[in-house]
Amino acid sequence: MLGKLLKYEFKATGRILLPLYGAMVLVGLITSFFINENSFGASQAIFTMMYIGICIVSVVITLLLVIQRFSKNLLSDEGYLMFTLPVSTSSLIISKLIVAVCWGIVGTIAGILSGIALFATVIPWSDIPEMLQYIFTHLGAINSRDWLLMFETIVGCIFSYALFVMAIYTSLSVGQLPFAGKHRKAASIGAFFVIYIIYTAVASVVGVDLATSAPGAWLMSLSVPAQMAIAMMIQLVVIFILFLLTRFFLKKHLNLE
Amino acid sequence: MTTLIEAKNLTKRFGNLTALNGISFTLDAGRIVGLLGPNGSGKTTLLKIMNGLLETTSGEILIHGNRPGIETKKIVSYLPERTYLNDWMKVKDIISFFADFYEDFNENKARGMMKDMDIEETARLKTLSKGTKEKVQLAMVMARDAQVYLLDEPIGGVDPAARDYILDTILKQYNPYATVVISTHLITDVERIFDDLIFLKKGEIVLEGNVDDIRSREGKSVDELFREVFKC
Repeated sequence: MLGKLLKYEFKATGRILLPLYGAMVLVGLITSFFINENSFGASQAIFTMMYIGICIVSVVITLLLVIQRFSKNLLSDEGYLMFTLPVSTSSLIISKLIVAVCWGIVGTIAGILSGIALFATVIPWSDIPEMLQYIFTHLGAINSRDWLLMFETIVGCIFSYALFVMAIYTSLSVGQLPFAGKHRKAASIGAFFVIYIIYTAVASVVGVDLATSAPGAWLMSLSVPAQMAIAMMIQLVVIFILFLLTRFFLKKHLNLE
Repeated sequence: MTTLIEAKNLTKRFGNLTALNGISFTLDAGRIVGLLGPNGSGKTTLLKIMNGLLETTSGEILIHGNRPGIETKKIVSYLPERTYLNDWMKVKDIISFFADFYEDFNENKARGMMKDMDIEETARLKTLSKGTKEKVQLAMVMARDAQVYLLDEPIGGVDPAARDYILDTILKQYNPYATVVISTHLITDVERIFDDLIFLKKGEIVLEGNVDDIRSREGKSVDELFREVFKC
């Protein structure tokens, strides 16, 4: 059932995000034909603004879609369909989270590609095969520790984004609680801030505690990759807690209008 | 007669408001039940509890022996009062959607109903009128070979000709294994198809039983009885 939910979730979001990200890369490409001259006039300005514009729009729409897919598809009229499907509340939440994170990754890659496309006219394309050759033969020079750090940094970013998305879902489901009454949106916005305030408060208190204690000293003695791994595990725990909260709110207190 | 739905002392409170006040009833298989009552009587709340959209405050409801959950959702086909379809989908997409999630969904029946109602499968749901969307929704719900059908105001927004079509479709669904619960205000149209009635007033059952028994006992039509019981 999760697979089926994922299929429809990708369909519903892909129809908006794929053209958008495609446009972002395309505009980057087109812009490169204009801005890599030595002059800088009106057309350069227009295209540069268009490019920056579409990048900002891509980020904003991706974020709005994350919110909308949860609030509109689950907590509004469509919720009458979704919550009467023979699927668990968990799979409803998880399907949305997985798809949101996937698009975060795809969007980032699209952003990078579009940034590269911006220099399409000045990149020495004929030299690329030689450059790639050089890179591949020297990949071995990058030691495993650096690979690990790169990998952890990327995964860490993904976890941070997943935490952010999960916090949005938890906040939106707070709007279903009895105390929210008619002020669901306000309750959700408030909940989002409360979640992040608690998260950062606990993090700093724990951080200070650790810095001045034996476990803290032990942590500091660990290698950077190990410290990063622990930080990421903590992120996973927080994501899990938020997931449990969201699921509890939706299972016990769902109150579609 | 097998009991398909059983409510025991069902209570639902929303803060200070008591929507359902300790109601109990049993519904047997093969019956078409009219759930009647004015606005705010608790009809929609009861239907939502039956299909798992609301949790009870106390008491319980069992559908085929199970509390509302994944197992009951497999056998309950629910038509809410509002349109719940994904706007961006085409009619054929929503047919595939239902076919994907519900084992008891009869795709050919759904397609047949679209044809009967002159609805193009390639039409985008967003472009359809409210009445047409409701017809699509009803077709999806009735095309399932479910054991329980919960219909909340199924004929509210449709024209009289469509109403007859819908009521005939509901009647055709009649089989000894299924129960159909219809919540409605438009009693004159629907009266002819009810086997049993439950009159709900302010969260309590004020009248229930077999339609023919009630009609002969009270000596009036269900519509007249409704007006009398729920006089403002």
